[in-house]
Amino acid sequence: MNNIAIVVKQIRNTTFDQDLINFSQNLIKTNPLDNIAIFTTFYDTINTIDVPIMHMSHACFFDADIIAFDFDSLMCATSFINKKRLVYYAQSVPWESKTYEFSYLNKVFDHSVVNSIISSSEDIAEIFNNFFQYPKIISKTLGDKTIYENLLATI
Amino acid sequence: MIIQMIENKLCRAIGSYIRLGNKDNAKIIDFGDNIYKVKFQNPQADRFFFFCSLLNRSIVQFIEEFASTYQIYIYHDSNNNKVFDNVTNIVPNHIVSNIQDKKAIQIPRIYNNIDFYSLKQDRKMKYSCFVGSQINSQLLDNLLAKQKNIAIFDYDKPSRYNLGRTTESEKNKILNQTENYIDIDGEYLVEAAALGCSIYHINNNTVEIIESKDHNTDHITINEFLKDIIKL
Repeated sequence: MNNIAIVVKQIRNTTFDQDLINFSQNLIKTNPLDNIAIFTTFYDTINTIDVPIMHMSHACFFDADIIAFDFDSLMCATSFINKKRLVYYAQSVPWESKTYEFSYLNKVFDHSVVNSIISSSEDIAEIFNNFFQYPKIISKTLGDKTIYENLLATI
Repeated sequence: MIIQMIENKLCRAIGSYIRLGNKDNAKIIDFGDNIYKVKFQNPQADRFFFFCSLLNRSIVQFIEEFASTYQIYIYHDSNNNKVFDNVTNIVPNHIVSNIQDKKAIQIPRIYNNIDFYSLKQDRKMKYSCFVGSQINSQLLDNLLAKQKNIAIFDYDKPSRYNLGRTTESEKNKILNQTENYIDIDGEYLVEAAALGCSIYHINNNTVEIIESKDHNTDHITINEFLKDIIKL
């Protein structure tokens, strides 16, 4: 694996965010020679032992594969100049709650921009497969062991 | 020539024609009820193109006052049957069928061959659909609950199948990448058929999509319409 930047808009004291920290800890444990860090705009008090957390603004020069965990972070990550591969972990369909210009979605979900998408459900994977031709890769939770295999396959 | 601005396919096609052909003598203006002001600001304008669905009191008064002085065209994009004397009534026969004026120019659907052309791309999308304002949203929601591979565009309501708003050039790309086009209001029927999509429509009773074999694709191109009929 290469260096990995995990980008997420906020880390609050939620189950998902705790899973995200555990996921990052596991990544660091299994890849001790790589630089792995979380980049975020805000983090709440949470147990973050062994996981470096930095502000999102530092991520743009980090020479790494990027994993984005929400659409806002994904949009930021598309402009990072040193990124190698960009992976999006989709927990929802971004245009489900807000209407976008199609040209914008088409530009972001181009396979040369977002290289692969790991979905948290079959439905979401099917949407990305039908409309943007991404292969269906599903890992239901961050605790799911398949996510490491899926990441290894995509990064 | 002053052309009334409206958010529809014809007005966008006229815009493309004007831009592409550098037609300095034509302007598309959103004038609301300020037609007299627009005339005052453009004293050289002697031809006017109005849309029937946007006629208001001041435009009607302008038409009655100047119909014999200027060349006035009225495009009947709604079925309100109002016909004026001394103007050129243009009647698309797929929208309006019972106009009494014998001098009215009957035209079929207009094919925008300026913005829509073959790109020879892979047909990656199974079904797509441009949703206009005339959609029964309950029907569409029920259809999408059944059939999950329909990409819909230009729909106001956010949905996981709604991929957002599009321009004419994006619609061209979408139709080039679509295998089957679901026609709702007939607006882009001719373009979809010309670009090789199979045409489907929604059956209101069973809420299913059915391939449409006998759709009418008689058309006139936007170039023919503007050059031969409007003389732009």
